[in-house]
Amino acid sequence: MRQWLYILFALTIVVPMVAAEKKDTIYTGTTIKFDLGSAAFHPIKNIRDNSKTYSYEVAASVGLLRKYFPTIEAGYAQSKIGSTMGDFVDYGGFVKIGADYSALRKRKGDHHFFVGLRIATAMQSYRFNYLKRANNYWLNEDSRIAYPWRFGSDFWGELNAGVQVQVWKNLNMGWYVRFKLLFTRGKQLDGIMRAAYIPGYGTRQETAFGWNYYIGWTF
Amino acid sequence: MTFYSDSVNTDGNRVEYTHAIDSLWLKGVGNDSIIYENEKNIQSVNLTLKNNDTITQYALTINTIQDTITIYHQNNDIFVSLECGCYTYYTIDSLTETAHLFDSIDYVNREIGRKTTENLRIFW
Repeated sequence: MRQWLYILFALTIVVPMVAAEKKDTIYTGTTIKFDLGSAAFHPIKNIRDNSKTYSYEVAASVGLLRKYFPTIEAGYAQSKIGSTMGDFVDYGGFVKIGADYSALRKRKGDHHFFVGLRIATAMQSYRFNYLKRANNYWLNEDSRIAYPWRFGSDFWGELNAGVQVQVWKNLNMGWYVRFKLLFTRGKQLDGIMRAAYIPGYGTRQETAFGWNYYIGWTF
Repeated sequence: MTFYSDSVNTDGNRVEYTHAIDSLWLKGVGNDSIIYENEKNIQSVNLTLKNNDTITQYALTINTIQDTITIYHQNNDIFVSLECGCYTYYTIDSLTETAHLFDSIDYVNREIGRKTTENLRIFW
């Protein structure tokens, strides 16, 4: 139920952009994209990692002069990761705003090679069901600790490169690879442990790579 | 924790030098595992603090004199990863001993992290 609320929230951001009409040649249309890659990839990765991580993402990009594509991406992700040393639950939404530049000079059809930038934020609820502490000498004592539910937010930037090809009429497909740089570094904030997983970013680390494989429709 | 002695040189300056313990027994209070058992020529000891309590006690016997050192500390859990769990960083507040074996204690570094560092100097 909670994830559908996040998706509805994402659609309220994306859908109004579609409503804009083409007025002249500056505006060349709005493309709505659904990320199939993350939705399909995580269930497979979950089997390997014994985790329960899911991520859903939609995006809208507005074409300007067939070169510039201001883009907004929004989504929902949840993660439940367990190991012998800890057990962690996280869920929340994320929004990314930025633009792509189509670097293809000569093109036939609506094909693009994108390079772009994003600024992104995620808001998530999370808790460590338990974490084990490392301490060899006093290990015979109970070294597990639990943390209550907390709410947190994170910010990061992305450098993207991708391809979009026109498949049929207004239907297009493509992929992005993303280099992500986390701005909210440090594993603690004011003495409180931050989330181990960041929706839209991945496992907390200073830099990360990601990819999307999407299908879209240009209006 | 390093054992030291000090003296005053001819210039009137205080000189510190490490002091080797002839015979040392050491174990944590409440823990049956003995860390040092009649160890000879010991100049420093590595101690871990409790991560689920803010008071850690060690029982030590030096040259037949029994003593209990009590270390009062603050604990700060840092999440490392789900593979490694979390690691506790400590801040030493104070230290007491029962038998007054030592002349003084210098706090070299009250912060204890993941690396082995010299935190206390015990002067004889």
